[in-house]
Amino acid sequence: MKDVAPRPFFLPSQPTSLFAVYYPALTARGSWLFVPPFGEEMNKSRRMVARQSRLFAKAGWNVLVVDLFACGDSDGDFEDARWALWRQNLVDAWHWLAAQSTGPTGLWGLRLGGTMAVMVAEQEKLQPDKVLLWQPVIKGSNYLTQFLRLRTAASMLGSEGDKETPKLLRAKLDVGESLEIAGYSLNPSLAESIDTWDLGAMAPPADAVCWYELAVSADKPFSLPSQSVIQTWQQQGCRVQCRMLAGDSFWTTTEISESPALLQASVEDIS
Amino acid sequence: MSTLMQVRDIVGEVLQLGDRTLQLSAESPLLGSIPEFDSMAVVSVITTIEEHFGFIVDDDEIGAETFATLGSLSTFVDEKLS
Repeated sequence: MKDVAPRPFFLPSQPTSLFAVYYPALTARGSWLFVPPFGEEMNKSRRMVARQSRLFAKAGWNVLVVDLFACGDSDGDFEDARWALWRQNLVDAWHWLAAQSTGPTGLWGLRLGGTMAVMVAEQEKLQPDKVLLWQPVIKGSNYLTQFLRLRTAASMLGSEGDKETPKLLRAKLDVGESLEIAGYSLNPSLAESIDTWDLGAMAPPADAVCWYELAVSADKPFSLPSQSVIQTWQQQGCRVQCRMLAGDSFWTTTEISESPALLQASVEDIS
Repeated sequence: MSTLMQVRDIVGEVLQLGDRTLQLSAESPLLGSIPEFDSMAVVSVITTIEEHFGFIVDDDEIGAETFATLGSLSTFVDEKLS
């Protein structure tokens, strides 16, 4: 099928409109909404998401990629970002996308975006036909610790001052202090939301889930927490197709990188 | 593979050092010497080490000295494993 040019636009939402890119298929058989990862991981993964979206559109799927409130090219101060706002953003994007075509609609998320996709599906009863997860974050609390470590690491790199451990930083969040981390001003309310997210405690978000992770080699087993969620969902009747693929963690690599194996597997399996 | 070699490969992989990975030895300075070794890279190295070796790093255990050289980082991993 032919390519149709992607269309950047501003999607009406709350509290401001959102920057979005729509990748329409020539003849659509369904649609996918992308849920972006958190912080710098979103910037690092821009190229992979754009490439995958074009491949999906070429294969007959409309794709909507949206920058959540205060992220990327959308308006707003990151300190004002809250899960309730992002959730509303995703619901607005979901309804906009559903209005573009008939056919099945899926949710596709990377890292914390995968976790948010599962959360929003349950909390807003979106009932996606399929969910595509790329290296989803299982426990929000571990992810938050890793994010806080960015500041710990920055304080280690500095010659002066005390090391700020995540424990110390969490204590600051607990008393309502916002934290400046790697250029993002993290509000305690948003941190508190992320801290509670746990895929292990969630019902399967759809009847069918594609779950992909990347590692140095494709024969590496899934981590125990991932295995546990996959098994639980399978026991609840969800068809989970999981694949371990060889490739760089493109959402963190120093240089912008791609994972051709993941692009190909995704386009093969989403139908 | 020795711990040192495994840690070397993790550092090389996270920082995408390519062929430069093989030139790293226990004496190779990391923090402040390899330009790619910024705070995001430090976090990625810690996370990858945790996942690869299957232990959790308490942030009180690590400091700039842990990341001084490849050898100091490898020694830290050995202590965690023992």
